[in-house]
Amino acid sequence: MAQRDGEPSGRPRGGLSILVVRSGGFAGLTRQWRVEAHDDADEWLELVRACPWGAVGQDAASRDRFVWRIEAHLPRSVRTASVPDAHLVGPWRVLVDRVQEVGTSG
Amino acid sequence: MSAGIVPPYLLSRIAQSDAPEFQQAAVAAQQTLVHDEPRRAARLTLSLDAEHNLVAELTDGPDRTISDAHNTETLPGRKVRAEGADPVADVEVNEAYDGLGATFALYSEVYGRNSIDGRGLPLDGTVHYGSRYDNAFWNRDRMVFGDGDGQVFGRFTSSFTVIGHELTHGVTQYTAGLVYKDQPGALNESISDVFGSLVEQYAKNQTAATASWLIGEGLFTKNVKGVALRSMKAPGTAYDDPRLGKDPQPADFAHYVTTSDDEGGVHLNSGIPNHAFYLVAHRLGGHAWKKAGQIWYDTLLSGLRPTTDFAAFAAATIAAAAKRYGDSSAEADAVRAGWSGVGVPIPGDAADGAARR
Repeated sequence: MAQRDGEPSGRPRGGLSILVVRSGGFAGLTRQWRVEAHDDADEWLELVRACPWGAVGQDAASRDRFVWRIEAHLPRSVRTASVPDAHLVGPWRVLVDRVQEVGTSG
Repeated sequence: MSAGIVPPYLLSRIAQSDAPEFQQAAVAAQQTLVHDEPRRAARLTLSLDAEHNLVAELTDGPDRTISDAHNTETLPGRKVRAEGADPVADVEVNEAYDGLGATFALYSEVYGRNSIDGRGLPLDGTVHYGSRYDNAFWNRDRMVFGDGDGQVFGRFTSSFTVIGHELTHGVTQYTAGLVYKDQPGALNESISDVFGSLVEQYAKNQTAATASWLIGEGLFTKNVKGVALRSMKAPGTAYDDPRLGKDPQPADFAHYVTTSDDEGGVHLNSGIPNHAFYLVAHRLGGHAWKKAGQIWYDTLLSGLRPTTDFAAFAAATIAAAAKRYGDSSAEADAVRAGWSGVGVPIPGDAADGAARR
């Protein structure tokens, strides 16, 4: 699985993109959703900033649950987190629901 | 299992009964035993021996409770079917109940294991978890089933392999305790697939030759080009769909997938030990739960380290086969051939593995 650490090229100044990758689960099927934000970048930035990127809960007990890799490619930085399904609540859930709702899936 | 338990009360009743009344007495005795017995769950069989003595046999029985989350993510949900209760109108409830029973039966009747912990642990399941939730999982205490989204996945209770898979995560939790990451994680997954498949094979009385060796057959909707989620017989061939892509499971160690997703690809690399088990079962023939399954079960109880990798697990299965059937037995040879068939290195001298035990 390719890691997306670098800054995507060709993105408008001030824009951002958010990638959500759902892996694991009983099926082991990986699915992903992506949004590219331009005019509405401020609204997305607010959703991103609400998430506790540095304090993600762990779930060592469950089996076959989803794992959510969330990447926010901001104008000057990239934030990534791996969030267990059991902890996809609050602002994480709001962000992921929104990306799934309006993003492109693959 | 304890045989020949006849309480004094029952004996006195029988003593007062003439032969034609045995049947009524037996029914009364059964009710009495069921209600008075302090065990968590048991099955009672009454029969007459050659001298017309009443023989009561208590065997382990499941203690199932199915709850309904009503499409929320709150567990456990509302209880909708308890052990011994009649089927309800909800097909998912009944499928979960029956699947838990089939899994209990394999472990109890074939391996002498009384439930997940070996001590009659109640089997709890929740159906209708979440909204269009595309998954089934084990949360350390219970099995949880989603309804599926209806477009890619149907309901997750529809295959015994799924239910057997989830409960086996519980068995592994109480035995080897394999960590859920990288190679030990893929082994953890594979053990769940192995016994999940055996639950189905045992319930359907299939042989290694007639079994499908598919995991999650029928879970996909008709929109998806695929027969199941995984194939133990031919990993990587379960589906090939324009939207979902191709089944990414490797079938041999040379194609082990290195990834940070899915706890290090535990649902991908499980294809390697899955196929090794298939090769062993196929070579031994007959009912896979009898020999191949017994060897894998023995291995699970052999004191594996939580960080066991593929090579160490392979060595442990060879040692388990050697211990039960002999080092130069056809069974031990089949296990060696199985691991060689998927490219996992095995010890040159299996006696070393046996000696460690």
